[in-house]
Amino acid sequence: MSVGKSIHHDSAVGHVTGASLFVDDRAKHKNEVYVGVIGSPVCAGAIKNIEFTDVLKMDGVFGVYTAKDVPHNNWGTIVPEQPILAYEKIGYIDEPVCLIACRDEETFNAVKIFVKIEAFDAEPLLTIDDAIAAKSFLCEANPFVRGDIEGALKNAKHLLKGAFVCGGQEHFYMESQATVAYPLENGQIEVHSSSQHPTETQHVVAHALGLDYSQVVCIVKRMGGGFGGKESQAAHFAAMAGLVAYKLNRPARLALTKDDDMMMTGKRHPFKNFYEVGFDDDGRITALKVLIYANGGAYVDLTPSILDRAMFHADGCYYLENCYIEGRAVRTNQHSNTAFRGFGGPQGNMTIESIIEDMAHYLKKDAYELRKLNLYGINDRNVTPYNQTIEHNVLPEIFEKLHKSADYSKRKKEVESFNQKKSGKLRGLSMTGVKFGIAFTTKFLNQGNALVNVHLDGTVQVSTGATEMGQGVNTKMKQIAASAFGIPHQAVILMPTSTEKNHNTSPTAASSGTDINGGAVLKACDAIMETLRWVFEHQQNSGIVYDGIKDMPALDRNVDLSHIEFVDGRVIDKKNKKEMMFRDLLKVAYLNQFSLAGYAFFKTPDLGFDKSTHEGRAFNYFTNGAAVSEVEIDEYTGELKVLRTDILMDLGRPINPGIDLGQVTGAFIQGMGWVTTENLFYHDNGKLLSHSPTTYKIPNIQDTPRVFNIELLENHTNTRNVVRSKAVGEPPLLLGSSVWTAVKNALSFRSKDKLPDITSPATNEIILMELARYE
Amino acid sequence: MKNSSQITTRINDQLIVIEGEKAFVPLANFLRNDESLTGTKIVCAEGDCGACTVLIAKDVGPDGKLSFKAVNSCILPLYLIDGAQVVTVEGVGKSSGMNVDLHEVQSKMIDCNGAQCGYCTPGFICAMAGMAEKFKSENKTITEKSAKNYLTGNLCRCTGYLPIIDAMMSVDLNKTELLKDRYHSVAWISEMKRIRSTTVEMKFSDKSIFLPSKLSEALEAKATEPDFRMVAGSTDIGVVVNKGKLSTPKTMALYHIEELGKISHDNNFITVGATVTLTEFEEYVETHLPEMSKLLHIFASPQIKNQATLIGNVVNASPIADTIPFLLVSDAAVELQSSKGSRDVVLKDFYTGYKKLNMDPSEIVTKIRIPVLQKNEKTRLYKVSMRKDLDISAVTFAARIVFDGKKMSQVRIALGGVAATVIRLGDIEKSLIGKDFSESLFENAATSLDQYISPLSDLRASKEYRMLVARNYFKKFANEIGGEL
Repeated sequence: MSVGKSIHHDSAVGHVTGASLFVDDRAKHKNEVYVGVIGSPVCAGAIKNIEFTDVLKMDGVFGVYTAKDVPHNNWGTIVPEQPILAYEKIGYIDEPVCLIACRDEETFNAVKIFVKIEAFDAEPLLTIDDAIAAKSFLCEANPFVRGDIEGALKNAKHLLKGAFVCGGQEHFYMESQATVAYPLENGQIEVHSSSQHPTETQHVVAHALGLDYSQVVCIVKRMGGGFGGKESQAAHFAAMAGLVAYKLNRPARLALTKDDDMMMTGKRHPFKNFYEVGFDDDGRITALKVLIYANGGAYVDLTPSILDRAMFHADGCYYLENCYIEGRAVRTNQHSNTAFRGFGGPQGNMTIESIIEDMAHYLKKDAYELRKLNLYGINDRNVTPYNQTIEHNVLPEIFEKLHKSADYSKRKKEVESFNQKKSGKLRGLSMTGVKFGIAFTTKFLNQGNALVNVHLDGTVQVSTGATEMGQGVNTKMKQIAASAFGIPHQAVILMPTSTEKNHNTSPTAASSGTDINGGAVLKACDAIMETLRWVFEHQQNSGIVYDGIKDMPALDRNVDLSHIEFVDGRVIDKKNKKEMMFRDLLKVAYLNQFSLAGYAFFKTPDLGFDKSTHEGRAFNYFTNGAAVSEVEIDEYTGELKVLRTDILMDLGRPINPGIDLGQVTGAFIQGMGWVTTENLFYHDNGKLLSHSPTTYKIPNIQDTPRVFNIELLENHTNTRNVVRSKAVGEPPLLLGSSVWTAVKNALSFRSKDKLPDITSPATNEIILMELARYE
Repeated sequence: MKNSSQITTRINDQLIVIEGEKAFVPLANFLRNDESLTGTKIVCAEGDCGACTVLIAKDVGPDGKLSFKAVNSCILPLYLIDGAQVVTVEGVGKSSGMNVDLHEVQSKMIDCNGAQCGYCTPGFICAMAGMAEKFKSENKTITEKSAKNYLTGNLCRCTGYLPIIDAMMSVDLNKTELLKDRYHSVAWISEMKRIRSTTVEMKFSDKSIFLPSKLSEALEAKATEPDFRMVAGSTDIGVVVNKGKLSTPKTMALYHIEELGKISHDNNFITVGATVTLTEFEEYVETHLPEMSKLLHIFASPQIKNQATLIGNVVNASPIADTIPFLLVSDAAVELQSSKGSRDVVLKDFYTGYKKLNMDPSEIVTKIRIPVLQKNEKTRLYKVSMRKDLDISAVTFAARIVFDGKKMSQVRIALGGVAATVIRLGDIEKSLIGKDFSESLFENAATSLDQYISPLSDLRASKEYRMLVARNYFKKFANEIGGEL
């Protein structure tokens, strides 16, 4: 049985030999054209004129297109308000306004300077504060309210007020946005896109060009990283390539450079969360009021859902007896911020972790003791602010186990004595936790479908709506199918995701790729197995010889044949002690005219949170974990080193522990990058200046914690998900915040009576300037 | 010998001849577009992510076999690989039709789940194969620290690096087939040597490439056509060209001139030739200038250091160049040659303004002479950047003091990132010379800094931060030196 085993990633050999094909690796057709994108020169305002008559005459230029060339120039996952090419109203600087179809990238670089863009320049809104002042709101959410918040704040023994501020984050998927669009016969277009959401990409391309959905097929073999950045924002670039293919009737390729990708696409939302917290002498939170503000950027995109998730995670791992959690997103003249691993969760969760760190310093207590005191209980204090009871709560177990295995108490004392020495170095230690709600909070997205084709040699092709971006979803699908049929995993391969096989799919997002698609694969396999059991039963136990001429009775799903099992390449009838090879049974089924394909649909049961009444279940289950990080700060420069991180994650019963551990390390380091070195730097006019790895610093191999221990908690209780596993993609990212709270802890050794007051990311500069404030 | 008018290279087991303007194309683009070797990825096109890493051997090692080094192919124009052997990710394993026998680093990368999305993987595989090549050849053991150092030039956004570090550390060098054995060919190696000693002259309508094999040819060309742009490793120019901010129609590179690739030292000086790479320099100064070697460990990436030259960094004259502060305080001097003769200029007098040099267009920097350390001197080099490794400095600091007992008989202090050039702080130096060392002297000097520098704010740091760090570096230096006296 391959479920539960750490088999290799199904593309591993291709990846290490360079054979894995990505969109821009596709061989070029002779008549293929390169699509170059030109961005808006202004941050706000409108385009007055785009002059390109001369460019059209230049060697190697086949067409120049602007907004008026797009038949339906609007798209948007939630609200279709975003132009594919902007003109009348500019949302942000470098927003795509013009396409050049030309011979190659060199030609584009040579001719693009001759496109003359005149624009009306308007005063932009850039920051959350400015947008709040201008009342520029994208959306607001119905607050979560519990208890008597005002009374509880008034009567609180201690009260702290403040604002938690965090920056955005560039996805920095290694493969920038890329699409090749091939015009086919009868007005059809085949789009190969680096997209987490082939269905939306298909729909946006078709809508933009005025084609029927059925005329567009979107195929995704794999992505060179996604992280949410290709959930909604692959679609309009695919539409641009589609437009050129449609206009010229030639294959069209659009592959953004890293600089253009960083300037043109949205990022993680910056947040500013105002809070008031009341607590008692022990550090128990008696009241929490949080006003959450997200910077949505220029367009709605996925912001409302991201804002929801921030609110859903503002409780962190902690029970809030009296709370008020309100959320608003502002509209600014920034790239339209979008999904990014965690999807608002990190910004909500980190707020309360920051608050607890402050409370501990204020009360002169250890923050771990406060965290433990406030942690969700098992039998009581176990209901979230959105009325979901936490089932099988493992948080207390995780916190205690990690506290012990990370040697927290002893190291805390070592940190204290180290900091007394005044060596020019300063250390800090902190534990944070995660309780991540699994399910799309938009109910209808919790559905998936799968197609399973069993071939006569006993090998299987599986297709689902899940897209492979490195996270190993295809490998897990393979394991689920192989385990169901009792065949070796090598006998199953995953086919490219394509909207002609799997349509109306949800994005591979919300960590749910395996949950919803794996559920569908299992159902599709079950359906084929029912057929095979039926065939087995008639062929082996009926006493009739089915020679391929006589009809076998039609399948009756009500007959219980569960004693016929699929194990190790064989089909075994436990009751009658008979067996045959899986492969031989397939031939019998085929000769007797039974289908060896399964198509199945899956929806996550029992979900249905009502945002107006706050009734109904928001999440299918929670993925939990905690991390302890120890940091060292150079007091001369503010430079930061992570000395050690210990992580304990609850991933249920993992389908592939090897792949899941890779998700945990990768997500943690990405989260650590967000709160340390990844600083988006903008010019006063709104232009992003840190738009390449020279200036935007994602973690390097040397930035990994010097000691890095990761363990998984054994937990078999999650019957709510496929093969009792738990989703892993996003939750560990939230643990990166333990590095940031450890910085706060370190600073508290020098801050005297002040509360360490830093924003995220805690760059060297932020840290050093904060230290200077204490002198 | 007759001049050549083409670039000849071997990519995996194919001999490739490049003619015409194609010679300006970066290797990575050539591999992907002309050779269908799409395993090599282009992500940043500026040598900062390592996705385009390939292995290159320009020379043979002491064993007479190809000496492979990892480089960034996205900023390496084809004219810089004349006579070189290239191995791409497709050539690391041993292929036969659709089948590949995996190289040891590939097997371990798979076993340790070192590849997730796969986009950075080919670059990592080449860097890892390069490390295995070197460590097996030199009989060294791969440690966690060395694995991290060799892979500093490769970014990965998926794995958090831990699986990749595990993969590198689990590489069994006994099972590793060396690429220098697989690609060994006596005929090719002698051909390589012939190519490397042949002058290349390529002329197109308005562009030209000149690769002289003798210094006299280079000087002559510079005398008649001073607008030749000199390119060494192309790690800076390659970026500027890729980002469309510069074109280099007339280009001269000196790597075919054997004498400029030498590094030597006597009792007074270490002398480094114009084409000596930073890796070669780093390895050389490990024993001779340990403080410099320490700084070079966090300077750039192995790929960049394998390609870039010390003199390239000096001539590029960036105010945040990492090697210049040290060279300034050690009173290094560049040797400038032209067809008219040769002169030495000490570095203090070499920089006249932002990226402005005390140098005639007809001159070429052929060498740099660095005085060796004296017993009674203390030197420190500091650098701060947004990220510790592979990042451009916000502030650099170098100080060198010669002691006579407790008395400071010679003081040299340089700061980078605080002005248009790296600067020496003459007035502060003067105020310290002849005095007995004390920490308070340096604290006072730190307080007086705003009289001498007024740093600017940019995306790497604010002016306030730069000033504060500059001050703190004085304190840090005094604290460290004080502890040693």
